[in-house]
Amino acid sequence: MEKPRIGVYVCWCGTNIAKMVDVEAVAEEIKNVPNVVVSRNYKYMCSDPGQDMIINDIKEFKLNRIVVSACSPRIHEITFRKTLKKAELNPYLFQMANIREHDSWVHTDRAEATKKAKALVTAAINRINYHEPLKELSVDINPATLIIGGGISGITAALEIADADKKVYMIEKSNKLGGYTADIDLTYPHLSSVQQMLGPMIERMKKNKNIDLFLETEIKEITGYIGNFETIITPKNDNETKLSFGNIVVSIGLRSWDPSPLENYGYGKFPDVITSVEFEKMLLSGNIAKKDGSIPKNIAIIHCVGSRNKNYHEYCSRTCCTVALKYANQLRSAFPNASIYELFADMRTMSKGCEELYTITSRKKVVFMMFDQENDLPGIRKANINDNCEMIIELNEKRSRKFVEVPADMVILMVAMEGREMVKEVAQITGVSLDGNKLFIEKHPKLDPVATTTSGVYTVGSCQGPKSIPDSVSQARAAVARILGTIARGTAQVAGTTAHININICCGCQMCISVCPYSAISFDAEKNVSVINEILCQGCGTCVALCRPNAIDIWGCSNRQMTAELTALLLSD
Amino acid sequence: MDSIRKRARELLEKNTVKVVIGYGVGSDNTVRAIFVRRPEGVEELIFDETCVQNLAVYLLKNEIKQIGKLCIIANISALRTILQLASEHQIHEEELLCLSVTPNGELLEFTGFKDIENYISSCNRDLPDKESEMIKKLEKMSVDERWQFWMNHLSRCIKCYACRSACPMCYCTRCQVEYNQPQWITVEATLMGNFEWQITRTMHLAGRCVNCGECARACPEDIPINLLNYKTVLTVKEKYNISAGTNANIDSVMSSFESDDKENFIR
Repeated sequence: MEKPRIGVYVCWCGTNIAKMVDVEAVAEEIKNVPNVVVSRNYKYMCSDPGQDMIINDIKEFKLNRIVVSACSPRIHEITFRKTLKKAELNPYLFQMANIREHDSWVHTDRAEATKKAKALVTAAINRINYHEPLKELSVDINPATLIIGGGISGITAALEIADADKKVYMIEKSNKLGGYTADIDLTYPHLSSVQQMLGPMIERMKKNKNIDLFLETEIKEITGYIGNFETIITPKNDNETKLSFGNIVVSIGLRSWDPSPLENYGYGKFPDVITSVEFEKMLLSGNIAKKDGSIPKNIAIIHCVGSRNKNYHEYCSRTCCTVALKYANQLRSAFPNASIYELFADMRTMSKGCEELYTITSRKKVVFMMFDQENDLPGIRKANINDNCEMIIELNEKRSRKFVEVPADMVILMVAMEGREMVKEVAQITGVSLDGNKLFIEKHPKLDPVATTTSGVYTVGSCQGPKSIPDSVSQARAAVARILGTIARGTAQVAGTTAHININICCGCQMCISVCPYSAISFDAEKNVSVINEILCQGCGTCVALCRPNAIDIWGCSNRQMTAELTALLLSD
Repeated sequence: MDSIRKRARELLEKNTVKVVIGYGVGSDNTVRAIFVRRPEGVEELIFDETCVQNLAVYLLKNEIKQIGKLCIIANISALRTILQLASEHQIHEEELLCLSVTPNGELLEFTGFKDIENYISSCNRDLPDKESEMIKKLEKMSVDERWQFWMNHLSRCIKCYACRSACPMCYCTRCQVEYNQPQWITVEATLMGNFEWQITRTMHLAGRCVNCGECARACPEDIPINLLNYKTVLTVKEKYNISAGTNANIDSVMSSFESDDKENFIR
């Protein structure tokens, strides 16, 4: 290995860093660290003049390692790797020291923050001594896309891709398209017909020559990696078909929760206690009636049934509050003289136009009552003959602190949304992780919300978290933008920072295989060693931590590099 | 004893196996491992309550593997080791044959892992009483007292790694103590270095130790290092309901997870 010649660049980030860190002092002191040839500070390293400064120095001083001490690598690591490429230096001969998020933004003592900045930069320099040039792999992209799940999200994505004249394979488990959306009567907050929107979309799906539709079909296994996936499906009444595709959209949605375990609501016991999904079907059929066929005079809608409840689903199902308001409106139109009650825990009417719907509803003689979701859920009992109603809901009204008995002939339970029964299999097949709530995990919750940790696989719609129609559609279109971008480029670069196995040390225990979240490790029975697929591997390091004989290491994040960095940090005063 | 010799002789005569690993008379009233390759050699085999050593440690040695199909005289510890090694893909069913004798003298012959699993499920797998009591005593100590207990013991460790050699689960091609770039564990037998080594050994065996006690028997300084492992045996059983060496397809505690694990231990 050639002797390291390191250039260090300390960024002010305007005043973001410079206000709390003496950047000039840091750059000056760093000059004394072994192998540092140039050390500078500049107002914005990420700006064009900043990057040009690095390029010029690489040429003038024959630098072969670059440390930029600035913000988080999540923001600008790719920027500076490109800078190195421009200067014809391998982009992995680069290291970032985060003196903004890890330092200037979180400290209030300038002297101490400056000391910490020096320590962080010194650690990065120590580490970069052991950096090696890494190779990036390039893979071709098959322009076809597989979409799993034909609800509103999947349909939107399919049409969008097909309209761009690219092939789509749509796999749907049931015998029809539309998912839960096909069972919805009106949208919220606009109260317009869902079927009038969805119907034409489904027709377009059927007619589009770019879309191959496979109903009543399930996926058993997917092999390959970004740009080059394959699966074999057995469509109903048809032969095995092999599909090849470059990207995957998972849009399997959620299902409604069965509220029987919440015995206080008597679902299954009282015939006129129904779920929101059952009521929606009633609305769609145009016939709102009790089980005995009569018209309900008193109707109660109970919110948060199984949502925001530690015993069932800790999360908020997000759409139900506004859907419940929609129900109150539709009920008021159907029954001008009925008594309508909304029993809620908190009224969560986020999204455009939803709070307005609440205001409108509250003027329609709808009684709103609040209950304590955590400690004191309402209970339903059968009414007495002289009560003049079917059921009585007993409730400690939270705001008035009074015990109330609400008469009801029909009770609508706003049930939670939860992962579908096959969600674990789909997660396993597509290599996407689930969180503890059986919701798919996005690559980055804020900055990369539709991608997943497996390149080429996107999750959209409510399978990733309960969502309204507009949110699901936005996600579907976001994923399509990414996919069409990848198809347009025609190739995908796979980062060089992957795990590698020393086959002389691997003893074939295969534990790494079971921990790999990307199914990137397989077993070579002949050589009795594990083998890493460099395209699937994301360099997460889980296998490294597990391997007892240390047979595995990560290019660009080796044990050697990590210990060099840590040693410098631990030795700093 | 006779039944074992008789069966071992048959196996060697018929060339069903190439070698029988068993117990023989050692020096100073001890038993030692012997490797019988000729039928007449079986007369040296013994098997009684003094045969506590876990012979499964020899199964993965290259010198032994090269000989061909093996027969091992296995006590319960060795049988459990074989199941655990099978779980870790280190041995395969067709490579060996196990002979054992029940407490009432009945000869057992295991041809497959399933047979071993069935037999093990009926055996007592509890920790020895003496060690169980010792662990209870340690658990009752304050942190300072416990620390002092281990420092007193570990100060005697000479880093001879006899514990590692005796352990049938320590089969790594290259042990973590042998790395120097980076140097994970101090080389010299100093107190903290000894501590680092024993903690590493314990963690590497967590969920894998079959409590055979070989490490402590091998220790020339009589350090009760098996207690460290036994504590993990109890923890793994309690938290994950996994007992190493009871099944040839057991999940490793350190490498298995469910996608709906709540991770509610992370605060």
